[in-house]
Amino acid sequence: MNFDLRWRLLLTLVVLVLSVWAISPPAEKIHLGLDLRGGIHMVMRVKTDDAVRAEIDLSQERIRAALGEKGLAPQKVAADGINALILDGVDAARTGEIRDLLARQFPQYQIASSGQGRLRAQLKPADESGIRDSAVRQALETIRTRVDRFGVAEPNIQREGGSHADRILVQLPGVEDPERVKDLIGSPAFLEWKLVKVPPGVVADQFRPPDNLDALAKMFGGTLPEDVEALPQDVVGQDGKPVQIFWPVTKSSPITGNDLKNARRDQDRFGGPAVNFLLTADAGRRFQDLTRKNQGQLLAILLDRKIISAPRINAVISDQGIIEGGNFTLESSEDLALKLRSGALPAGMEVLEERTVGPSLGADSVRQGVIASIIGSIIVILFMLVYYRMAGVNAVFGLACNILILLAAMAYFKSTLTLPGIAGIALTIGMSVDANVLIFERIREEMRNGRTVKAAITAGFEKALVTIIDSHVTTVIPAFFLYSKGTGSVRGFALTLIIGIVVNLYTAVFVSRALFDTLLTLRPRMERLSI
Amino acid sequence: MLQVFTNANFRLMYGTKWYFIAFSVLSILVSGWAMATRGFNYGIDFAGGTAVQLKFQEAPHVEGLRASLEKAGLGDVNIQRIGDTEDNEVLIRVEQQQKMDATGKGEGGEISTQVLEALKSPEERAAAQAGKIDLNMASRAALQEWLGSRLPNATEVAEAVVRYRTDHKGLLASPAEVAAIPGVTPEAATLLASQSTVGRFSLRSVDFVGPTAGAELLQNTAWLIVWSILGILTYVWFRFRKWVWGVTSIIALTHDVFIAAGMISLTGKEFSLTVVAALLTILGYSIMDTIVVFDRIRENLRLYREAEFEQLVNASVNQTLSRTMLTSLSLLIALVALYMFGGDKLNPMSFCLLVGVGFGTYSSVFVAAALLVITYRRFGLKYVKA
Repeated sequence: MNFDLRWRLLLTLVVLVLSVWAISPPAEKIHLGLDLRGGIHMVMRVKTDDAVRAEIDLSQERIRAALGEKGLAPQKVAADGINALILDGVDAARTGEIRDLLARQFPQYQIASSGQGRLRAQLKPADESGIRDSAVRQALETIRTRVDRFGVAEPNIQREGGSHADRILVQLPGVEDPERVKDLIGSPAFLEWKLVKVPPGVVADQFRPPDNLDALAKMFGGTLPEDVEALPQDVVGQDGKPVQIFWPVTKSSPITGNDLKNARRDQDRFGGPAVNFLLTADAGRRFQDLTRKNQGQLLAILLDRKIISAPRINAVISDQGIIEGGNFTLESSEDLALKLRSGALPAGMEVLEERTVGPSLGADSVRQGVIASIIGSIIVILFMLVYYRMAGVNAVFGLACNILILLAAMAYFKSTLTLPGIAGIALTIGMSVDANVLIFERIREEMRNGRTVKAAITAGFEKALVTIIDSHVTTVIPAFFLYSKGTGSVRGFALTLIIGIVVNLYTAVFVSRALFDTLLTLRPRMERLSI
Repeated sequence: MLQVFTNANFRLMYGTKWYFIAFSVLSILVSGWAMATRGFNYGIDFAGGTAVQLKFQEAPHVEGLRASLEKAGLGDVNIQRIGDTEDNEVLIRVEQQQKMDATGKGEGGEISTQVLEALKSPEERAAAQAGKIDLNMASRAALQEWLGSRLPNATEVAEAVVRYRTDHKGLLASPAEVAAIPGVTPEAATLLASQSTVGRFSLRSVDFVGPTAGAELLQNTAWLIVWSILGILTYVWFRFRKWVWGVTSIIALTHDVFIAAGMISLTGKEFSLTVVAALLTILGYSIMDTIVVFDRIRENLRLYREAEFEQLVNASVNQTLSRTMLTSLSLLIALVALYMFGGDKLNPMSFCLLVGVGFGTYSSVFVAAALLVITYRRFGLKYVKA
């Protein structure tokens, strides 16, 4: 046996041993996709418009204040669209002064005149996309923290579709409660405390919020005061059905979730579930102030702009308190505490896609896929052996190597095997013999034309090579597009197909040739080839 | 030596080729007609909405289920039996999107929750009211939580019950069954025997796709196919250096994909993401088959310059005929296995691949090669120095 052949056989052996090592034990090394092992797959969109709007809201107040300080206050500052502000009734003589001040203190805005006594401040595109981007990144971090604390093994949470995308992909294997997960990761969890402004002439204790906005406005004599807004609370009505009632509360929130230091599940006076919170030192002082000044009034606690409860302020509270009366269950109080600890989301979330696969369905899919692949392999193997006899053994060995190396490559690159991925393997089984067939048919042809076994084998491999490369490249092209542009489990299909095709080039050309050459070395004067 | 064809010499590229062209045109017309008039039965990936897959203890009564869902005001629901008859599985599709209340929260809970709620029998509702847990519906986390407030080693028991349930196709026949599960303590078994129920069905999967996601996907899919075809065209043009070869091979593969899509439309099989993957795979397979024939034609052109082009193409097709048959046969074997045993989810995909591979094999000879002959004839093109 010559030196070169020995090396080729050794390489073949090493690759096989490495592959076996890479996939054992298979249960650990082959990463099953969510469609096979069960779990939740969710694609969410961060409503980045919210974050831009929040920035505009904040600037609206600040610009008014900054201009007011210099006696330059316009009559009106109002939002215009989602990313601009209109300053109305500006003193025409001092426009230049105003523009200078705005350019200095609010450099993120592009100021333009838009008519007599009117200025328009628009967020610069770079700043706007910066706000959107950071909202998505912050949302990603918050979701990660929440999921980590939720205790899911091997979660996959990532931004999808490049760095400017507003999508977040969440994959949680082995979890089957989409409702709970969605509530946990999707709700902003923005906590606020607001004072209740009872209508004139009503005692705080006796105030009963009405179930519609008109009735509330009437209590205030037609319209709500400038600094008051109506926000809902979900309660159970007398007939046992859920209704919404509306509370008049201050627009500003003296304390918010940003002031929290810690939150944990606790019990209320009656032993029911509640959430205990701890404020930062600074916020604690403000809270103390607030509760001292407003004894006897109602203080509403809001989560995501809905009132949880509005207890009466009976004592001075500093940095510690309890949230109760929100129809809490053990589970929901624990979840709320967790959400409060991980911070609020900077913007609302929208679920674009959600897929939950139960473990029993996943197990069935694996079983069916494996059975189909095995049956397909057996028939293809029999077919090859009957048709090509000894050379068929060569092809079958190549097929086995192909599947083994394919699985090893997937294990090594930690790529996930999905249900369409199994279809990709089944397809690889069918296609992998193509290169063998091309070569074998060529060898047969060459032998028919009177060449010796050795010459026929050499010519067969050489002549078929160009075609094999061509056909492999063209098969990879669509699979490549499917992988790079496709979504979800279909990418798994493209991946198995691509790896399968690449590996096939190696097994059909290199391994198969080494086996033929070994045969020729062992029996140099062979006159008939079993093919 | 076993052979499909011994020295095949069929006269495929002469007068008979017109019959094949006619057959292709007919297939294309049928496919086009199907797609134009019937359209596609879009799966949830594209159409959006909610799909709930349930497995029942006993054969489900589809009309009864539909009545319960309609009473719950879920609008147009599509219920179909899936899998083998003895699997007792149904797939419920609700096209309607979530109704929102004033604050932007979903009204009446998720569609999937509404479906499950509507399908409960009065006894099941009563059991839930009484605080009993449904062993067939409870997730591991829910079961663990429920047990946690009543027993010490809830985690292990919940784990054991769920594993047992998974191994038994997701369904328990009675609460008493848990006593036999290894890992369930006697106390847990006693508790579950009296305080749990087993519902008529278990939840296999829930899919929700919002309206924007589906529309976007359809657009992406169209681009995906266009890009793949352009990619292939570029490669073939680069390899053969003649635009006619590139164009004829593209016509052949478009023919295959078009007909495969047409058959999906005609049979009303679900058009899902995996079908898109199948269509792209057909692109790859079809061109691979065509390339093998074209490579042989090119090779023969170098060898026999003085031959008639028709004769030469005919010889090339015949020389590669064994290989074409063998490859497509082994591929068809693998696909038939996948079609028959691969389960419901892969069924439309493997069907599409079967059709595509069949037509791909056919088109490499009767469309690509035949068109090559026809164009060279019609335009009097030179074929030497290929």
